[in-house]
Amino acid sequence: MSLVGALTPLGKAAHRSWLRAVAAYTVAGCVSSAILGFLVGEIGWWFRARSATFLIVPFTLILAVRECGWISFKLPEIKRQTQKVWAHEFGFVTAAAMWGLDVGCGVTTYVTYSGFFVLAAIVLVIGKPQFGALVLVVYWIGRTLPVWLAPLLGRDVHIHDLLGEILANRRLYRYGVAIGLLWCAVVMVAR
Amino acid sequence: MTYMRMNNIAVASYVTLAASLAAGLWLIRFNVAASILPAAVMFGWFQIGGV
Repeated sequence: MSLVGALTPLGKAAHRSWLRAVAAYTVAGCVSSAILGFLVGEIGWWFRARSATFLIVPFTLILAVRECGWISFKLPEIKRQTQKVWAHEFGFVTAAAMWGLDVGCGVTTYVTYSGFFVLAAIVLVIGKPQFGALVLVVYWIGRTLPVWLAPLLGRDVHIHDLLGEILANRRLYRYGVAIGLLWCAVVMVAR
Repeated sequence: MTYMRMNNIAVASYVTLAASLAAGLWLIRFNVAASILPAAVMFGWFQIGGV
């Protein structure tokens, strides 16, 4: 489910509760992202994944081409979303923390764009657990930005219109991810 | 004449894209691996279009 859609209406109704819920979402996601990044880095170190560094650039370029829509294949993903009912069972703040823990794992819900996989692959070949934790926490912070900014960006529109605006830009997101992937390829060549 | 107003989310996305690339270009002079971090922010932001 869209966390923007779930949490933003709360910001208009009860600002303090919204703040606590979004903070809980962010912190909980930081925890699960950090653990995941640390583990991926540790696995990369254990299995000497550094020797596979040469594969990163073609892997990244193939995914960039996919994001541009020139080739098509499915990304490995678990077809599930976080549970909206948690908000009714546990209250918004606790549910937001649970959503953060869940979504912050990166692979336990739908993965629409391929940037996450390239970050995970880079963390794997670099093989430094602390760096892995840092990269995936930064990715998570980027993921939470729309939730933090949604009340500001959509202050003049109804939540349904805001969600409509989000969905209207899907091509922009795909090309944006493709540009980010090209940047990652440049960085890995420069390394 | 017809035109479409660029919505706030699109503007914020372009700002994120430009700021991330600028930050990456700046960081790569000091630490190549760290210049991945702005791209990570960008990937996170663009996940807004996910399910």
